[in-house]
Amino acid sequence: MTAGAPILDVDTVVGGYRPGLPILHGVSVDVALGEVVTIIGPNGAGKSTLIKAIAGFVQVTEGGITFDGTTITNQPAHALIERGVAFVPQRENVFSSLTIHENLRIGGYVVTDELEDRIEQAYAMFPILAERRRDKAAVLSGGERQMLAIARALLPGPRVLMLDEPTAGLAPRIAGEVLDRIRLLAGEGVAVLMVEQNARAALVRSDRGYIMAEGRNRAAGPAADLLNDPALGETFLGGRRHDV
Amino acid sequence: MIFQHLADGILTGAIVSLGAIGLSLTMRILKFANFSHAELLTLGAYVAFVFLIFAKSMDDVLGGAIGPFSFGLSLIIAAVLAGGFTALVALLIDRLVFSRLRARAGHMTLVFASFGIALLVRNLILIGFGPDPYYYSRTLQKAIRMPGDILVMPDQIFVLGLTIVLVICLHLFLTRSRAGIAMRGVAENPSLASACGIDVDAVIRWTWILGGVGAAVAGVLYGLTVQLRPELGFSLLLPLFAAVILGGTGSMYGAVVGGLIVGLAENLSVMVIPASYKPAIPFLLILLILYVRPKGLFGDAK
Repeated sequence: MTAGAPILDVDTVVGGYRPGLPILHGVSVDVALGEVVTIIGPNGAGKSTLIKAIAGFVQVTEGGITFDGTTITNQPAHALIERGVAFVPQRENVFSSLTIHENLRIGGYVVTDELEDRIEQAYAMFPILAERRRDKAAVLSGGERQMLAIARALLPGPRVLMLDEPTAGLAPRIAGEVLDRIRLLAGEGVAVLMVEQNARAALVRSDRGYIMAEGRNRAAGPAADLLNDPALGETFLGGRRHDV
Repeated sequence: MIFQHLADGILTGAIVSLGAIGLSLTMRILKFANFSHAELLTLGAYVAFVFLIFAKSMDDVLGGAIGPFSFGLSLIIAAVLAGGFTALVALLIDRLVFSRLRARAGHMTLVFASFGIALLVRNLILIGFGPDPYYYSRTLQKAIRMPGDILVMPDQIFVLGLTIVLVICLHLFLTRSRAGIAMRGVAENPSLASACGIDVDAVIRWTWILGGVGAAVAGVLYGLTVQLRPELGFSLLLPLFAAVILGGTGSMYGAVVGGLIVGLAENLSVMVIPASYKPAIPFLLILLILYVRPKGLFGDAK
């Protein structure tokens, strides 16, 4: 699809968990509404750190991040969701001790009206959650947890959805279902930025991709081009095709 | 005889439960064992005593004792004001000590800091009020004879009733209200809660407020059934921790059940061991639960 102007623009960002020890060395990415953009790269490339820096969990020391033309660099994490930036962490991305319904209520914490209507919409989008609304999130399978995490992040109606390895630990078929769902979200106008180890499966469902290594941009371009680049395929996509 | 011990155990347990709820909440959300929590009970009890002196001067307006109880509206107003004051002190302690240490030190540092604050609060009360006991009321109460030949004071029934009401209110707050669910979310996963738009610092402040008010109310209720002494809270320290560990850290229902078990075990123990050994019972319960079920009755693996 043809991307419009970026809604989220990360410009030569430097940052990390400790002062003076940057993990990101001038990384730039952007994503437009209705677009799925995937960041791939080897372990330790700084992909998750980048997405956490955008989400307000990692200190940015240089460069800047803008959302819809407004600077959001180093904004506290809790303030970003009100602006329209949602984040789904890789691990522990649901509240296990709470019921599915309570998880969704927390997801809608910043929603001031029509919260129950929005929760019903989320149930319509993910019927498996509706059937188990009174169950504790702890009893959900990996795929169901991921669905709940995404449903929860979508409740405030974000314009940008960031996901950190949404298919980590999932069986290939379930991983494919999760990625298909994410693709559908972009079709509804949400800008999706995700980090994935399951590179080939994610790029197949993405519009564009970035390859990171050692905290820097290594390559960028349309997902199809990255998938078909033999050199990149050998280095970053595991060589052989492994469709999900 | 056993019914009398059971009744006394439930009444003691109700007060322990109320104090343990606040301790459990702060332990879960702030991730450290706050040994100064018991001193907030003492502070609340003494502050209520001070407010009571002022309020009693308005007894003409407020009226005297209510029905069979030893206290009147003046003590209820004093308890409310003490709850507010204790919550403010809890917030101040967090601002001056714990929040600074949270940013740069591990949880053991916070634990040791809480020991220091406990000593400070207890001794400031000792300096201010002296070691002599005080009473909210010296009115002699007539015990009520209940079925089973159980004797209870009207004030004890009030304490139990109020504890039940407060536990139900807290349950509704934590399960139905937006702020309550947010608090449970922060208790489990502060980062994720933050990603959901919850201001974790604000939730921490509310935790101190709830913990402070709960401690003050527990202190006043305890003071109603015993005398006020600077070591009032300290004497409850072990039962409070036993209740929290028994119930499972962070579980409000666990704190309630744990408190009742501690109260019952203490009071029933005097049937088989000398009463002077009663204070050791909570300690034995802690050892037992840590050996059999370290996460407590209602706790999760964390």
